Amino acid sequence: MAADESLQAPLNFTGHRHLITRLLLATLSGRPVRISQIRSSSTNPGLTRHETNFIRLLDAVTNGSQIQFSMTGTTLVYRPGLITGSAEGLGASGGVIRHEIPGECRKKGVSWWLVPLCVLAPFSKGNMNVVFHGEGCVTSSTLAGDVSADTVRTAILPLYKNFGIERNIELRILKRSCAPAGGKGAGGEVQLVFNHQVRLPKTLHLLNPGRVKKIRGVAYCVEVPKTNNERMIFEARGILNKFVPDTFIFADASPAPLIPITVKGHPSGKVKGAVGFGMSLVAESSTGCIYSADVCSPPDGGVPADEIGKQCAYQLLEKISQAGCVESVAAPTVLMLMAMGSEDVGRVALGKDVLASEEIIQLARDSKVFGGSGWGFREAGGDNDRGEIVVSVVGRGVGNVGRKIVHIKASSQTEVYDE
Amino acid sequence: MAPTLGKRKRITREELERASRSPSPSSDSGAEDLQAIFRRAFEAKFKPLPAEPKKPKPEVAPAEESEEDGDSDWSGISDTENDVEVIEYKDSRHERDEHERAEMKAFMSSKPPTSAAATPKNVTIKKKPDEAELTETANLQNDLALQKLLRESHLLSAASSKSSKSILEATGIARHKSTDLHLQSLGAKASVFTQKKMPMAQRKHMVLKARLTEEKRRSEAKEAGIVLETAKKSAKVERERKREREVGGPSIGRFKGGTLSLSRKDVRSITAGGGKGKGKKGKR
Repeated sequence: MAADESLQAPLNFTGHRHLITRLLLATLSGRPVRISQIRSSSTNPGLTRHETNFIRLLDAVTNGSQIQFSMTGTTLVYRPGLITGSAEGLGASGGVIRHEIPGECRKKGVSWWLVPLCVLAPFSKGNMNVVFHGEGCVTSSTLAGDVSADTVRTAILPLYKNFGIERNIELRILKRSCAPAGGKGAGGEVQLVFNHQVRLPKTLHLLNPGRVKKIRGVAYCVEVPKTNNERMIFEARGILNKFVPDTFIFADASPAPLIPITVKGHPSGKVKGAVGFGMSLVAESSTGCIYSADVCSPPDGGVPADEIGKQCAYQLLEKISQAGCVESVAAPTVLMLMAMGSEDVGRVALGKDVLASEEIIQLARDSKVFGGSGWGFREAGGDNDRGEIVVSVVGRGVGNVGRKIVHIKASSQTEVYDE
Repeated sequence: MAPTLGKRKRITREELERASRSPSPSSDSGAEDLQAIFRRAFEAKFKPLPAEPKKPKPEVAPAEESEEDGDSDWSGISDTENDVEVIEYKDSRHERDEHERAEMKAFMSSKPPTSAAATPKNVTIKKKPDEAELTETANLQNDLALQKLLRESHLLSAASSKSSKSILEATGIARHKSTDLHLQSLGAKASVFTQKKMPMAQRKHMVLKARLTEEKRRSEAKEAGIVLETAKKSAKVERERKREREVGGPSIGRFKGGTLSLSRKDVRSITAGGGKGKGKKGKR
């Protein structure tokens, strides 16, 4: 089987855009990819540090992957292996993979690593247990558009329940950190435990967005006074209470994480990470659809907490106004899981603004290139039409290859037993 | 504001403290404000209106000071300007209650929050037990104790027959046996004292002996007019059923090359299963 795969011709892609989704689709479908012309015309050509770091993570959670870079880093050939999770002996110690995010990746939030890893986790052969740490581990949302780790936990992970993936999933924020300014480090720590692996995710039918019935949220501050939390909560509640009385926003204040440094002559050998505050809001509808908003103080500061709370509340209202059952942050995850589901038509209603993003459209094209069937689109129609589009996705029916082998083994054993 | 302040000065403290302003003699100045006139007219017809709440002292004092100022527009520096404005970012009506704590636990744990966990639990309020209920529970407890005593009476009597004085609390081996009985009454499959492996004949004899002893004890008790514990229904003896033989089951036919071939014997064993007495006796 391995020989067959190595003979398989890689799929060709160009450009650095959508690199992560392509690598994910390659890993899930088992097809090798060759991505060329990665920032070839840029003054800083090739893969960036966070992209190579993500490939490192892919290497850690899979077994038998082959990764080849060109000399300049503008061409990447990736032959995926089996997703083994945090199996002992393959980069994991004590059943936990400790993945370090170096300081150069501090522009990206940890959710940039977390969300793709969560997509891989249900298709893993064994349990997935990864700790992200290091100077570049930012748990808050960032200016680059990454959501906070809180939002991943409260707005993206609950969606896996719709696919029949709900047990033993945890996202522990061990150390909070904010996006650092200048040359500082972040030093956050997040642990993802994803111990519910499935053969095939269930087919999703999500057509009725329902009405928002409750709003929850977290206001967090790192190394700044707790009053910032209260001010953010006060402002956000002032805006949202009119619409949904069932609004609870919780506060979490934590000290800045200590980062060990190697500079000689420093008294303690440790420096404090970046400081800041932010807010993550989640609205849940009567049918279990989730909308989220995420705003964080900029690394250089200068924005009062009230303003952050207000922005976050308005952002949530904007997300809700986009309609659809899945918001833009979670849409790639949901669509990818649907595409990897059983050979059955799954349907999901998306808002036009959510669907018409570059990311989603390219995902649709890429999933077709990777051997999936094309997606179907139609107007939702109905009584309360809010301009939604129903996307129909036929699953590949391949699902979890590691589980499949286990399954066949088990069934063959029983046959032997019967005779 | 100045003219009204001037008006207010004429009302003395006693007047302010009075329950109603209606009986106060109207001043002859004729410069009563309209509201007072209306008020008096209303109170003459109906009952007196409730008095205005008494003003705190510090607010009255500056009004009297302004009397000296006379007609100057400047009313002095007000004390309120020196106060630091305090904004509380706390919802006053928003109290931390049981429900919110449960919400917080559900949302702030490391697990992804579920909508089911957030549903408010309906709080059950404990009622105070009244007299009738108390006696009822006491009766039930006594009844249970009596049943237990009856159940263990044979153990206790055996124990007490050895010693000179009668005992009500089982001790030693009798206590173990009574515990075992209790477990069985609660649904344990078998007694812990049953030996698991032994020759079949021996076991059969044991069962027989136990049954005979029990029957004897019951008949003796009945003759003597002693009330015993209710007899436990013995489990129905499973009739030995003939094994279901059908196509697809084990040991039916021969599976070779993807086909299941049934021999004549197999067919007969399936079709002749229902008929009784047709086959030769003594032959399976």
